[in-house]
Amino acid sequence: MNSWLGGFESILKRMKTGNFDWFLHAMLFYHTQHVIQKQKQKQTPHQIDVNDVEEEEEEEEKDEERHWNVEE
Amino acid sequence: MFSIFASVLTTLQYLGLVCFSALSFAAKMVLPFKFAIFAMFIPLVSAAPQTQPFPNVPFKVFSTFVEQSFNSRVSLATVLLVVFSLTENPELLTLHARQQNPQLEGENKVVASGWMRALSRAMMHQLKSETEMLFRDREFPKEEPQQVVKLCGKLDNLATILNLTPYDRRNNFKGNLLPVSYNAIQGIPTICPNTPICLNANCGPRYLLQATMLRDIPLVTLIKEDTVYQDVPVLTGKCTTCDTTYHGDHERFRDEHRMWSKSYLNSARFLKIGQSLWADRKFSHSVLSAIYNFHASASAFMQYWNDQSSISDSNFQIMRRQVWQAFVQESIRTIASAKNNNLELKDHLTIEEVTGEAFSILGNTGIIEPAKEHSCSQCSQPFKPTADFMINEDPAAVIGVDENSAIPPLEGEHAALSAHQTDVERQAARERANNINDSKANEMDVVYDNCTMVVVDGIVFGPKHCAHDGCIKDLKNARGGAFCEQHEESYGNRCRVRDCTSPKVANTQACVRHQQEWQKYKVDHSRSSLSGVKRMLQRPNESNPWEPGIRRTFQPHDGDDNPEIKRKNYFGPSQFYCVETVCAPCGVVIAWTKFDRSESPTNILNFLRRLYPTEASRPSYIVIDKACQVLRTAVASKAWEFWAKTTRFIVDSYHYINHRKTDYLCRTYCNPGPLNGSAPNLIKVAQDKQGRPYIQRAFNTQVYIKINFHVKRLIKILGMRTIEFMAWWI
Repeated sequence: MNSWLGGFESILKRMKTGNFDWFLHAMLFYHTQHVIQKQKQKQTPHQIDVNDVEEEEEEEEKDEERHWNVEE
Repeated sequence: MFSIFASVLTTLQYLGLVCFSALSFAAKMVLPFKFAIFAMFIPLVSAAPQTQPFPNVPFKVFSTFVEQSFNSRVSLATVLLVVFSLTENPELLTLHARQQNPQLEGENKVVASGWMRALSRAMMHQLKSETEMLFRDREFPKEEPQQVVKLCGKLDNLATILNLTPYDRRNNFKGNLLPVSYNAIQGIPTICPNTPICLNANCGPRYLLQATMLRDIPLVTLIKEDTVYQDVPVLTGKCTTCDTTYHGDHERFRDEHRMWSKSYLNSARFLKIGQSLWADRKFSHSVLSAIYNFHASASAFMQYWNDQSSISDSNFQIMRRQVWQAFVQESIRTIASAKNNNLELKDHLTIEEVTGEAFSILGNTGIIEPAKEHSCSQCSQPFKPTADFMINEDPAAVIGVDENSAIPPLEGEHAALSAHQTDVERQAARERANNINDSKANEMDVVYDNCTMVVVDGIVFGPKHCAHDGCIKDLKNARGGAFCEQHEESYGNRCRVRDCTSPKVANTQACVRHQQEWQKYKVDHSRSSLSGVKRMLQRPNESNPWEPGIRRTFQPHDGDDNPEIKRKNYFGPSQFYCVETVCAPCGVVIAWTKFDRSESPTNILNFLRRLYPTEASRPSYIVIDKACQVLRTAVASKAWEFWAKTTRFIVDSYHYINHRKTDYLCRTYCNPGPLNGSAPNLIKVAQDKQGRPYIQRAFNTQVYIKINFHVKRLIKILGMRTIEFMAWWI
């Protein structure tokens, strides 16, 4: 969280208080919406551990190859 | 002969199909030809790809073809799909045409080439049962291969009618077909209100009149679906009864005080992002998404967009302030949509005023609305009254580290007390272990709420504000100013050194007596000092005699109180110290705030108290990287009474492993995952894929708390009296 938020430092440090407040609030709001939406998409929320992450990566690699259903 | 080779090779180059065989064949040719062919392979720098105009055949010719070739019930969508399938594939049509025009020995004329058969199949795959509409009555073959061949003939005829062939009537090769430009058939967009009737609650559902006189209708640039449309008319609707005007992205109405107000419509399809520039929501959302995902500034997005648009036909360029406007407009809609309300502000506000007002209305003092209702298995667990595990009897053993290891005892002050308490806790742990499988002892008569956790953490950055003591207003001049408007006026021409009343010298911020301080400040804050290699060579907190470095006042990060730092001068502005966030373990951000002077436990406690005013709203555990300090301050200031019934403050594992050796309070009360079963809700027993039980954290605490380099291990050991008081309380 902190490292992600820290990425905005170069943008935020030049802002006045009004813009700073709105920008940060909008980003955190968007982030929260994003996380909740991802949880809904997953449907089966579970504890994140290293094994799960590895499984997800493996699943991503299995991109199904599709073809026309033709007999020639 | 050469022209044929050249054209074939150009085709291959265009399609990226140049292979080793082509090169070796070319190598056998004579030298001048070789040079000419290889010259074609030199990559060319091309901005916009060349295009050919959209087929401009008379409509009657096209209409006759459709009537004679397709079913009479064929839909417009199907016909257009066929046309655009041809215009989208100039490469395929070139390949097909070449096969229809044999030039060399061994080449045969093929009517239904493999290229065109592939296109036909793709079309049939897309159209499914609608494919039949591409054949006249009783013309549709039963077998699929015949359908494909028949469709190939129709597509070939249509391509010829549309002049989408690289050969002329005398079968001379004209050159590769180019991608087709759709400029000629672009629809003409207008920007209109998105309601047909007046929506004012005090008015009837009257129709809206087009309110702008023809000569006054603004013609603007519109970015829609990544295409730039010029001279798009912006139309305004007006209700003649209540005078409310309806625009593409807002409504302008009189509020209860008869003052003109503006409602920012969440349902707007286009947003005004410049004086004469509008954009669709796809563009504005892409700005928001790029800033969120890439940490892109408005300038970076501007450069990216202008750079990628330079390869299209358009010469239009956007500006930084238009990107910022798109961000503000889109973020207002995003946040207001979650509340199911349009944002209503006074009319004629500047963009800076809009952001300020938007935060005061939608910002909710930093509390993120969607997070309030949020609950998931990562941040909420069923309450367990007793432990169902016993891994290590020592109360200072922590999950993930001490499953099979001895725990180092507390060193220094309170070591004896800690050793005694450890013995007592070990005995209690043994008793708990005996009851683990006792179902009666584990039965609950009371239904408890779920156990929840939040993570509090800070990051050191913040906006600049007025330098005057205790004032946090915006700067009057953000580029070089030090005061807000009020203090700029009150200081006027006075020297900016504290307590100096002399007038300042022209073009400086100091009087004659303090010119030396001013010059030093200028050198320290010059570009040569603040950026570049000098800053890289200078380590933080290093102050060597040869370095001009800025001698800042010591910033207390973790102090218990909120110290007022006396500035020696007001040459530059002050700055908020840090941003504090409260997150759920799943990553949902619950709230944030700014701390002006330090991330003190008092500030954290005040923030948490504001965030969780009621007992029901409070989480069971609050993880803070310096929870022991917060707990110490809470007990000392009696704020602990507020939290004692509902909440425990715990640290993260990294902090605990290091701090438990030296700090009694941290060791005793802030363990994030005790293995002796004293906090059963922090650890749960799970099963691996083979069904074997193992223990894991009930909540994820370390993902969001990164190593905080600003935490100082300056522990103020409280007196024995306070610790006893604390032990009694807890």
